[in-house]
Amino acid sequence: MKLEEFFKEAKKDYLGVKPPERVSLYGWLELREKLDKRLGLKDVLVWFFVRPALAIALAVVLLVGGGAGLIRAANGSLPGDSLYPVKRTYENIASAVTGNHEIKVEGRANEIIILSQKEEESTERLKEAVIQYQMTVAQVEEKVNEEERKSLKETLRRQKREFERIYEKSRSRDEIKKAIEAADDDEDEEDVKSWEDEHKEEDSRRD
Amino acid sequence: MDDEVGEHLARAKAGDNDAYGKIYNLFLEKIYRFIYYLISDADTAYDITQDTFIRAWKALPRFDRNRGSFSTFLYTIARNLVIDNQRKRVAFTLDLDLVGEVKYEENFEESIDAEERSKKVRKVLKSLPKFDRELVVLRYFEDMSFAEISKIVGKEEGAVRVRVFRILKGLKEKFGENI
Repeated sequence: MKLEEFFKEAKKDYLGVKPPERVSLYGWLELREKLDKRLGLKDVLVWFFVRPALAIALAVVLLVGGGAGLIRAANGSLPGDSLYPVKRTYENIASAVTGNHEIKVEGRANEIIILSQKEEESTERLKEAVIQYQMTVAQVEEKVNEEERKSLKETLRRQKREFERIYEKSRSRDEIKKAIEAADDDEDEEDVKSWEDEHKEEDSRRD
Repeated sequence: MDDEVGEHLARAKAGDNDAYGKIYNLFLEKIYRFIYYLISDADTAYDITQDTFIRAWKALPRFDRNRGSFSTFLYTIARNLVIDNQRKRVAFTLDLDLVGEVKYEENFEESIDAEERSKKVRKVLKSLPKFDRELVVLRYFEDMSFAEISKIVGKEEGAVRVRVFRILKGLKEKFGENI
């Protein structure tokens, strides 16, 4: 093999290297979470000084209602709300203590359902909720053992049916479709396809 | 692709995470492959790939397209992180034979051919010093210009040109006309 040919062959070998499937699927979601988490002292200070009303409200809730009150207040929060990080932190603690990771998946699915039903809501918040759901499903799928996986699959199937139900009335069908795909496991691929075909005609009429 | 990157960059610079996600998806495979070929470990390659994009995100406000392409910018960060990683490893030896589990998209017969081909290729590449291997990857696999490579490796363009010429000469001397 001549040197030129060698480089051609070597290039083929090099280009044959692909990231693992997991990286292609979830690499960005994992990175996005890291980008969001990297809040420095500066960001915290800005948050407190630029949004003093929220900071005061948070302080009042803490003082008057105590921890339980805060958690109750945070419980109904949605992505983008000021108390949302409190809800997520509480969930993380509850999930770590009880070993029930599905709490998180349930939480994210409920947020999608609530946001999709709010008429005044912007697509952006729903988009964010779907991203959070995709990420949570991927993370929980990695954590669960065989026994828990069965239960998780059941939960995801139920959520998939819920998403399919709201898909009909949703103004952001693309986002709901992403949630359906995230809730879907491989075994259900055929079902999704036939379900998509069912709605394709209706979609084109709408467009 | 440059226009596409430019559009996403402008939005990402303004803090749009999703635009940066588009950039990530455009460059993920290339950056991962570059790192993986130099580091020979899938998990480490993934970690360094993610760190590359985090660093690039942080440095985005300072990034100036007039001083070089975004691609060059990413490769420079990736290369620096690979060097940092290698420094941290005690008695690190890059063994390209260990670059296993390469995923090919061909069928079985083709994958056997590919395996033999890659063994031969890696044997030759393994014989090169680390820096020379980087130059070969950038020049012959990534098809970069000497100007781009010089920015990535932080050497004068002329010096890179001479080094690549010497690598070729060395390979010819070592393996003859037919490798």
